[in-house]
Amino acid sequence: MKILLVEDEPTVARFIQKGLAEASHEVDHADNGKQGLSLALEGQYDVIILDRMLPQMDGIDVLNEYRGQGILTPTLILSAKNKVDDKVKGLRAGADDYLTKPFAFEELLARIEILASRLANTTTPSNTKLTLGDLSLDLINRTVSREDQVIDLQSKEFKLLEYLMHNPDKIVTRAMLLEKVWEYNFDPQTNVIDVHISRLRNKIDKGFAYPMIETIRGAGYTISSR
Amino acid sequence: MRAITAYTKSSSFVVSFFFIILLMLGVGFNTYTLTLANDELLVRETQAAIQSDLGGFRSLYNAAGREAVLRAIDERLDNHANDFLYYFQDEQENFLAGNLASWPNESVQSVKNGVLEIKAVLRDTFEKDGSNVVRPERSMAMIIEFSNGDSLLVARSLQDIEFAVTLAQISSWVMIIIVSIVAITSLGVAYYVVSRINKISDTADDIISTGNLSDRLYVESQWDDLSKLALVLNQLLDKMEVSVKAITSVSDNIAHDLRTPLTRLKGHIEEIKDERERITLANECDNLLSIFNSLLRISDIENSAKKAEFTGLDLQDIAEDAVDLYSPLIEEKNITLSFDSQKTSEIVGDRDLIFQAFANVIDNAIKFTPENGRIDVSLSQQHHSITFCIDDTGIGVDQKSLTKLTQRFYRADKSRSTSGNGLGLSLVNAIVSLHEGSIVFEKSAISTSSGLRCALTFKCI
Repeated sequence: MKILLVEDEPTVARFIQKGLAEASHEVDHADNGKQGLSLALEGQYDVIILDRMLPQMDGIDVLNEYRGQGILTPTLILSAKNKVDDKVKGLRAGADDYLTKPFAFEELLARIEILASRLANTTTPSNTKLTLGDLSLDLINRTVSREDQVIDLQSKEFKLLEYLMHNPDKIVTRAMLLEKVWEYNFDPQTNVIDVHISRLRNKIDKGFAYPMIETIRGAGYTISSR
Repeated sequence: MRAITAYTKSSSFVVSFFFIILLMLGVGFNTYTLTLANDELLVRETQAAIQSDLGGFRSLYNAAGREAVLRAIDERLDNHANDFLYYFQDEQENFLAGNLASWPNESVQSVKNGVLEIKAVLRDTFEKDGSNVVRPERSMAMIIEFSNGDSLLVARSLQDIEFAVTLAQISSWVMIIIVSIVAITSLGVAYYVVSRINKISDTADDIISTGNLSDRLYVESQWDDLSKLALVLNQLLDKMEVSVKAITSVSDNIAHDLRTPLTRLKGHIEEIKDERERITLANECDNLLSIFNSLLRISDIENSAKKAEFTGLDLQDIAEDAVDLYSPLIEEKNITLSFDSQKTSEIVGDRDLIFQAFANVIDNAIKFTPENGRIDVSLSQQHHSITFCIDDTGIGVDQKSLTKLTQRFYRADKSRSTSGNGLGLSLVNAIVSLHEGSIVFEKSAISTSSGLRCALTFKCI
């Protein structure tokens, strides 16, 4: 994957660059807004990681500029503080995801991998039914079945599964689940998400041929058909 | 908080009121004595003087006759210290002696007891000017008629008395005006001082509540004491700002700088063959990372002033979501949960942070409540404050440790065996302070033996 990193803080930039290189991604680094914009406009990246506060040109302005010129590269905004306003502004300007510093590297990696795959997903028309192996989820009737057996899920469990199934074979972190399913950006400090996941597992994995939800230690969860 | 909430509570106002009252007492006393020495008293005195003079003349006339009286009048007129006026005439109203121009006929007013009030014109001035251009003096007079038909008028000018009275009146008015000016000026000075002090305290208050150390007190001029004080306080703020920035950057740098090697360490740990060891070490590493992240987050919240981004929040929704998120954990421990929430007014705040605070206190309660215990969560509103309260039947906290709960890394002795880094409640405290709320720990209301109550109070709009 080819990634553009626009970040002025050398420590953070080095930390991200190194991590991404280890995960065998190709990284270009720009340490100011203008340089970042000109690289982004080349349009050859799979994902852009954009810091909010940049010298010469603000991150939001950079994003606005290349979105305005038709560059739809999935973009993740990094911000030093989790200001609500920043987040709203960023997402309104066309950012696809948002991460506040400090963050764990696994979190960033999981997010950009999902972002990159989203580009491929958008080409297919949005489904009213998600299917993964023998598990299927009907978004209209809000029903779930595996091996043609209807599974009764509570609304949060349904949302949890829906989000996982939107990103099959990708690592989904706990913070991402909290953000997308519970719609809060916070640090749970305990294993509360694990408990929700284990309940979900009890319903969709227990008694079936193979477990679909897998825990990736230190990172999060992934759902796969095999 | 404002330094001086009401002007009456300021010392400068009290002092000026005290001085004004003292001055008013002085003026009152002065006016009182002047009123005592009024017209009436002086007139009575004049009357007595005339009467005694008349008495003298009467005895003189009875003893020595008209000539003696004439001589006596002349003698008195020669004496410059004399301030009596005389007119002595015979039966045919011929002038015999005296210093008055004429026998008063017009404008005679009888006062009482034979005392007359006349307009006296002196003989000298009348002769000189030949007319009564000279303003007649208001005088007090008495007339005595002797046995042979001669009559003598003795008068005394009231002008001096009137002058004295007018002078007294003017002086008391001047006093009143001076006192009024002093009063207005001192109140003005007090008002100025109070508003300046309030301006300083408002700015200080602002700095405290927003944490914006780059703000400075406004210095109006260089000459007065308060401006000098403001200058000194500004220097103090300069110093503090520099120190705080240094501390923040140091702790940020430490966290950043340690995070990178820790991440590297994690990479090495992943390569360890022994799975058990690998997992233990990786967990420790994750713990360290999460402590750094929590520390950075707390200092970030404590040092931020992100009020501008605050929005109106419905605490009931957030409380329900938080309880909902933790309900599986509660069920797992077979804890009885009661959740009682009222419809409350909105508060201004950050949705994610409030959720974090609620989540942390619920998480805490679950962690320290044994299986089959009980947790009561409530959200209630009283006037303008909304309280999120959580009671548990957990292990509780010693009375003396209650206030230490929000300190970073503080862990009560009883809680050392449980998981956690001692930062959860520090984070709650930072969030609550940012929202200008308060956090109170008490003994739980549910059980008498143990348990903790944690109440987070916020002000609503």
